[in-house]
Amino acid sequence: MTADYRLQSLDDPTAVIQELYRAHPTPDNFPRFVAEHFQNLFDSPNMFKRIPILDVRRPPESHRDRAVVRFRAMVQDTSLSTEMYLSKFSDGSCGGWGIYETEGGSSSSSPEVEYTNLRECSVLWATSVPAESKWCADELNGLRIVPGDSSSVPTSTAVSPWSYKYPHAESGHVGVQVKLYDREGAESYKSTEVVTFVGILSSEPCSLDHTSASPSDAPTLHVLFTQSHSPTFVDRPFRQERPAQDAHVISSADSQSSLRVSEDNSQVREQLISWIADEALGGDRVAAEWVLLSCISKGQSRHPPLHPPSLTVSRFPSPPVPTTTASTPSPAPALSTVLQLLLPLLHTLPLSLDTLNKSHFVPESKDEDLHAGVLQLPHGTVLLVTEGDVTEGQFLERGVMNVRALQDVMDAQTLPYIFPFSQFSFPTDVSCIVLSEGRKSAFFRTDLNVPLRAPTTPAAISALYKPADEVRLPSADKLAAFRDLVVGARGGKVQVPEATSED
Amino acid sequence: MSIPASSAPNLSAPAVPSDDEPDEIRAIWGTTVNLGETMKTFREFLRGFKIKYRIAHDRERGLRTRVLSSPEEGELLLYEGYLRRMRQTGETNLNLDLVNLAAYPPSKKLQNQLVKYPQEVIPAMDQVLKDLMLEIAEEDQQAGADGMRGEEGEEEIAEIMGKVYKIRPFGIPSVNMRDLNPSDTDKLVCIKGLVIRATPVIPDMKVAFFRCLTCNHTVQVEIDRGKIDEPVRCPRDVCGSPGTMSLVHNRCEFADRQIIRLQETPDAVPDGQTPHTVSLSVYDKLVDVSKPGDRLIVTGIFRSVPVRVNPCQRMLKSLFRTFIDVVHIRLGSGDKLGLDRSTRPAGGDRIPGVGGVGGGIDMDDNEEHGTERQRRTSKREELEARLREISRRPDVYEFLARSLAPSIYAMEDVKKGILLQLFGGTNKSIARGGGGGGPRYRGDINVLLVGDPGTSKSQILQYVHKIAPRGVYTSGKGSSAVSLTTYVTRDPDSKQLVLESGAPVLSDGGVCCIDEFDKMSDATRSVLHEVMEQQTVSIAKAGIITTLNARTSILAAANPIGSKYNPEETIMRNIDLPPTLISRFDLLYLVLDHVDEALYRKLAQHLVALYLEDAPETGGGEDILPLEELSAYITYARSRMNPIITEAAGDELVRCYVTLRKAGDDPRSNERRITATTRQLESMIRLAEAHAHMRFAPQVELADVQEAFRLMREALNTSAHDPTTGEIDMGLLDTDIGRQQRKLRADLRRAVLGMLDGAGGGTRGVRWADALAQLEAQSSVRVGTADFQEVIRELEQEGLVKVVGERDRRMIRRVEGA
Repeated sequence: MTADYRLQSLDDPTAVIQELYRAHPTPDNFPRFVAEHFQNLFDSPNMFKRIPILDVRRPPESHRDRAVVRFRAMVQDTSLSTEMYLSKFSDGSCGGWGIYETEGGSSSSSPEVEYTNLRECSVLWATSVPAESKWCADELNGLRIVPGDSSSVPTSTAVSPWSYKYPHAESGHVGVQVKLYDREGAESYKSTEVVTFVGILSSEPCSLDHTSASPSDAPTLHVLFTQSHSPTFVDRPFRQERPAQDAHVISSADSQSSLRVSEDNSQVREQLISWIADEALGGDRVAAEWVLLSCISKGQSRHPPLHPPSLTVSRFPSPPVPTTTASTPSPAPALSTVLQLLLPLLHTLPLSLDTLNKSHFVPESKDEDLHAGVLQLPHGTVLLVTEGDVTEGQFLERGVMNVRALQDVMDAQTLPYIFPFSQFSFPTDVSCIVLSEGRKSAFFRTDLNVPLRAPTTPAAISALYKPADEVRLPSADKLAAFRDLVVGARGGKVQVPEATSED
Repeated sequence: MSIPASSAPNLSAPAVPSDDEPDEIRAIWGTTVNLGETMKTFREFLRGFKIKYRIAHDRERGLRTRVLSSPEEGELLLYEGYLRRMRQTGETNLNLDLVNLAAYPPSKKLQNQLVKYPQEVIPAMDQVLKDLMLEIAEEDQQAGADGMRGEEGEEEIAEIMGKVYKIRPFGIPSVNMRDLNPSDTDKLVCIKGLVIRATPVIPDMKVAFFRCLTCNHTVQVEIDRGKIDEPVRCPRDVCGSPGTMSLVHNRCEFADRQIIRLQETPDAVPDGQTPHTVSLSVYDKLVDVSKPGDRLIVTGIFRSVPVRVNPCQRMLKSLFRTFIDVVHIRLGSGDKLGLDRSTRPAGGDRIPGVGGVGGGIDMDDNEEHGTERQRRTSKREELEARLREISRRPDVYEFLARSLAPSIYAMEDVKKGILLQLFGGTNKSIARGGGGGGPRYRGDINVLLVGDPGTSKSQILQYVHKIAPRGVYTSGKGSSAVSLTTYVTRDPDSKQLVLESGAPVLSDGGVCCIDEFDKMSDATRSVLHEVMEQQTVSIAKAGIITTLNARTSILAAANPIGSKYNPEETIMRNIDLPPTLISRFDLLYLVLDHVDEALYRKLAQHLVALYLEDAPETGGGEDILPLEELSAYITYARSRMNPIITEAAGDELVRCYVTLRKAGDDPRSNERRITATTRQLESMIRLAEAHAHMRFAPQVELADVQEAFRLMREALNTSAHDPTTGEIDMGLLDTDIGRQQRKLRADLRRAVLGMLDGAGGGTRGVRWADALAQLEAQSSVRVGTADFQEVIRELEQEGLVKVVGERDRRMIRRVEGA
């Protein structure tokens, strides 16, 4: 297979599928065959990177119809009914992947459908990955960051009618319906799973609309093949004394890897802690270490439950200027910025009475359509909850339920999904860090509570809430090393030796 | 205007067989199946099927069969009997068990044909059914059967001629809705699920009626694949004017149609997946048979329809949506308790059709033979025998109570109370009560658990929710008045105002579990007043005024005020609930965290044992009934038994009630304490009935009443004892004034009167403050101002004393001659 052929596949995937079908008329498991074919085609990372990306900066509208795109997405809803498609048309050509019989005299005059040629495809709703950090997205997209690039591409401003299916509806995102023709793996996709779908982008009637006669069109991705992600989301080897794995790391600091390896891990760790402490926690190294430990913890097992511990950083002062007008949201703490630079998946959840009473924390099915909840987050997300915005006021039923849902996540790492007449609990893996002004969190019971010992002068407080561009960044090398440490440590396996457990 | 339908025949009519066409030439398109043959075989089947075939068939498959009472029973012509019954009852639907088709050797092939080509075969069968109806009617007429002689018979036959008869096949194994795939298209399938939404009835045009505006010529056009072809020009040659045909609405024929969304039942959803839903299309008599919340087993034709991108375009997108055209509905699946049938319309649900077992929950059609002979019957009989055996155990009561929530340690009496709640009393409508057939007396038993945190109240609730039918679990804290009651919204599909029912309405005929009962708002709680006694929810919102039935038992759990029970205080002080609501609970249990080391040890051992063995059923290794069987047992008892109170039991009830009331009598004082109200008498009746239910007994006997009495006393003993005396005091529950307090007031009253009558009185009376001071001096206990005021007020009302003056200057005067 030449590079030309690969490029042609990118250019006109429909033709490639048709050609494959003509060459290998194996209707039994043709979808599987297509998946393997394309998987082989784009096996090398370099080739894979040439597939255009579908994301917020490159929304569905910016791609031409029936273009091949890759979409790193979180599966949001798996409850959509399967669909039938004609796998073979009267003229013997192949169907599926959004290929339909062209409007012609022959088709309209013979409405008889050969039902034996019907095949089934699974339909999912997938959204761009919530809580994904920018550096992580860039790294996974495999693009060198070109300064000014983001500004040149207009971000989509049109509000999608399906924004309720994204956990954080107010922020920019892409949501598409995904059609899986290779049914073998389809059942295994679970809600909140992160998968990269590679497929043909087009627009089709939305499957969520069961009842109306003319459902509106939704962007649709006809999947050619998929790529799953490692549990840590990005591959970052934990730097041990052997430099062998560095070859995989796609980062700007590749060339100097040998230099960094010599650095001791513990040294990096010290530096990391002091960086977090200085930039985000007013110099409190103890709190910084707790935050770091909490970030790298993960659920060890469900039976018996060994969940990541939840942490409250108490005595964390409120934002310096009390927001008198509700319209201006108070600034996010610098910790949010700092952690965003370190973690692949971080979501900051500023609690206020308004958000608690109005937003939905848990996914809820309304009219057979699963609306996303704020807590519907991919596994491995760190959730930074700030209580600074909470003011006095009435706490409504919704608020109580929301708090309860988050407490459930902390305690049991399960998130209830509400369906009519029933409720299902789905496992999650979300580490929570609560920033609270009081001695303990006002709403939540956490496993750990660390009081922040930081100066309380106005200047010091405003330093805790300094804007993102005031955070002093370490050198690119060092930042990469920090990320290696955090991500690698999270992915690492730790065994408690016999002797230690005896103690 | 009586011009007959246009002479132009509608050739595109679907395969509805017409009489004049010779059957022999028609075969199902694309197959060798001869429709004529099919019809002939089916006719043979209906005329020749006997019960013995089914029994032989079941035996072959290794199922246990019922022993026939006589050989003649096996020779009974089942379907002829059904057809006669259909004629007598005017029913037009015949439920057809596919297993019977397979069991009858000549019609074996037919079963397969029916599953594969239902679209063609079912109409053919409908035709055969009608022919046979007529045939049998004529035969009966000739034989001079009852009600079929002469004129009467003619009338009957004419009526049959005018009716449309339908076959409703069922009895194929159900599949998961995820497993439906393209190869099932247009085949007969059977799935299970939970109804989550049903649209209002949609009129579906079947025959359109057109009239030419110029010559008044009329044309009827039948619907073809969901479309009606409007004639472009008047078909009359003389007229032939184009575009003059207009639809005359009120002469068109419509059918009822309803779209139901069916969701997978939670137990069928694969791990980690969200439940799928499927659309059902139901027609005519099946409309409104099921309500949201029902579990259904439906048989229907799986359809795929192409989706058009735009209805104006002719291009199909080769994309298909699927739904199921329902031919048969059965309500309820075996794993939960049956519904309380008295909550459904008279005569069970309106599931149409003769042929018994199809008839939804009305399975025990009192038809002796035929209906009981279905596949499930032998299994059911087996189960029935087992259940009966259990019911004969001498320790059945303890055994069942032990099987309820076995992972929860002790609390035997609480479990017994809840067990009886699950069995329930009988709902009675007293016709002589006057006013619209008389009131309906609830048979539902309401139970309230009040207790310290961590005493497994919620666990019990969850457990009950698991086995109860139509059970709804709601947490008081999380439920606003909306989720407990009912609210009005606009239906997203039809844009009509619809009532959305809350927990009690949804659990109509089941058990509504409410946790954190104390933490709900007053507005919500006030709704429960109506639910718990009248068993209805009235709504007057958005122009909709209605009363919804909420015939539900309520199992509630609450924490005492301040979360921890304070033994120093009265119960009313401990439970922050209005007495009006509390009195509506038949049983009120206090689940307290007793201080007892031996108890700690046992409880801990029990809990640890659960973890060790990792099987909650092994609650101490005792023999217990598994959840499903317990559920089956309760269902059986609820559906079959209707115990009647015997003479002896009635006497005992009266005696017990009197005892309860008399229990308050204290020989040392002349005032009476209230220990029981009529509500408690009713509760006792319900409990006794429930206990008889549990024993599978046809009558409520002495022992039932005694147990009910014991249980009530147990519940009351822990709940209604006065903290200072330790005695039962219902007044404590109902009015919040304990006997102690009332006695105190009576003493005070005597003292006041004595004082006024005595020297201190005189004609001017006593000053308020002086009186209080005097009494204080006399008394050994402190006299509260509030008590004093209350006593004076009472005396004043009785006309014994008179208060004159204002504020500090008030004088209390004895009324002369009083």
